[in-house]
Amino acid sequence: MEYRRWSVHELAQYLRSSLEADYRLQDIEIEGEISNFRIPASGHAYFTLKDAGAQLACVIWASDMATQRYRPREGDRAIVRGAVSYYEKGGQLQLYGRSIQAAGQGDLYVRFEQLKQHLSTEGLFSPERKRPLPALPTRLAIVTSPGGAALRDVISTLQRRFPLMDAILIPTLVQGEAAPTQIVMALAQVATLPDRDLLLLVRGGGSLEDLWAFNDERVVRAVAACPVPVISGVGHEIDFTLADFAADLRAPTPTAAAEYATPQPLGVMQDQIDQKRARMSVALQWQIGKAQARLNRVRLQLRPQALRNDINRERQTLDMLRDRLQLALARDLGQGRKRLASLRRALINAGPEATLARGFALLQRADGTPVSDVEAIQTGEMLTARLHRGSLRLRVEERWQDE
Amino acid sequence: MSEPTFEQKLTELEEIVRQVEMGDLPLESLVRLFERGQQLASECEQMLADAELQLRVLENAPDGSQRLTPYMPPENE
Repeated sequence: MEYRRWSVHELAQYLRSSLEADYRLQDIEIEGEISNFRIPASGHAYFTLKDAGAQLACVIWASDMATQRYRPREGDRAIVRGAVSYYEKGGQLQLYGRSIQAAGQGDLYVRFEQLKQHLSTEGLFSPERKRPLPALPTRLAIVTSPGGAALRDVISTLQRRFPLMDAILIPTLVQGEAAPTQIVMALAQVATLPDRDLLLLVRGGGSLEDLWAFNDERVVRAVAACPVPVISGVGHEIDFTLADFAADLRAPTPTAAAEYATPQPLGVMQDQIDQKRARMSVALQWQIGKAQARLNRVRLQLRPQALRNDINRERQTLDMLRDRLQLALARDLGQGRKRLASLRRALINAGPEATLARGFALLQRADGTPVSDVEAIQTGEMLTARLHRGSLRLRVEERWQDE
Repeated sequence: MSEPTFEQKLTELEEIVRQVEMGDLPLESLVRLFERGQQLASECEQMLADAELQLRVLENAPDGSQRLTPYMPPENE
């Protein structure tokens, strides 16, 4: 058997093409512990994945690294997905990672979704629960880490937009085991501070684990139960925590939270004051104008000629009214007369005259009341009988009733 | 009673603008209100110009008591 003598370079090329020809190695997930993690100026991430039995060199190019939410740290258990190849110049087999996530993160996502579902069903995130924010907050409470970038962002935003703000920091841890308890306590402590009208709950960006305190059920409930309205600004735009859902307003970043807390920055305030000045001037000028007009009117009325004119004008009015009154009266009278005549005709037709003319008589007692009932008449009583054209005096001789 | 806050001054200014616009009061009172309003507007503007963010830190003492202290930015900035 003849030996072929390889150059190092040839072998390296051979190893590389062999590895790259194995499709199973070209899309592979490997879990291990991160060590020697470093990102030099190039932005590429270099580290070693290892477990108890072996280790593997890894690289993730800067362009891929930029899209990762997870920021690996020394000692983390992580899962890297990528392709295995051979780095000829370095003489080593490498995993070329395209994505990296913390091991166990899958579990976190499941827990996140479950708790979200649970609290959502309970109505903790419902829009009706959201409280309106004050129109011009001036007394802020800030719950965050005293040394964090989030606080720095909030301070500089407040200073720039609305430095009249009176802010109180309630310092807490914002990640780690003790963070939830501290945040819950801070949210409750707001009640003990002098009349705070708004609370900012903020934290800078980080991995899902870093932000986990803001997914803690106790924290989420404390946000919902906070005695003053809460604006949350946790992580970056893409990071949503359950505390965000429970807050009265969710800001994408701590800076944005501070901007929401200062809805009327200095320029707007200045404009408003200018506007009020202008409104006062206009209103006063208008009032002065009105007063002047009234004065002119009074002055005019004081002149004797004007007074005479007024009196004459009043007289004219009176005359006109009188004319109209008489006209109306005359019209009413005329109609009255006509109605009277027709009534009389109707009366004549319906009255006794026409009946008497037909031969009937109207019996009346001495006092003039008509007689209609035999019982009411005594024998011997004197009655008057009215006929068509005259009357008779009668004495009652006898009386009887028809059966 | 301490110096009124910006908010209180602004509220008073708003009330004055409303009263001047309603014009129910005698002219003399309106003019006095107007002058007071102008003064308030100037004071508000001065407060805006002079304003410096007030930030205090709530400290929980080991004995359970609390106090507010002025915020000191971290040294390494």
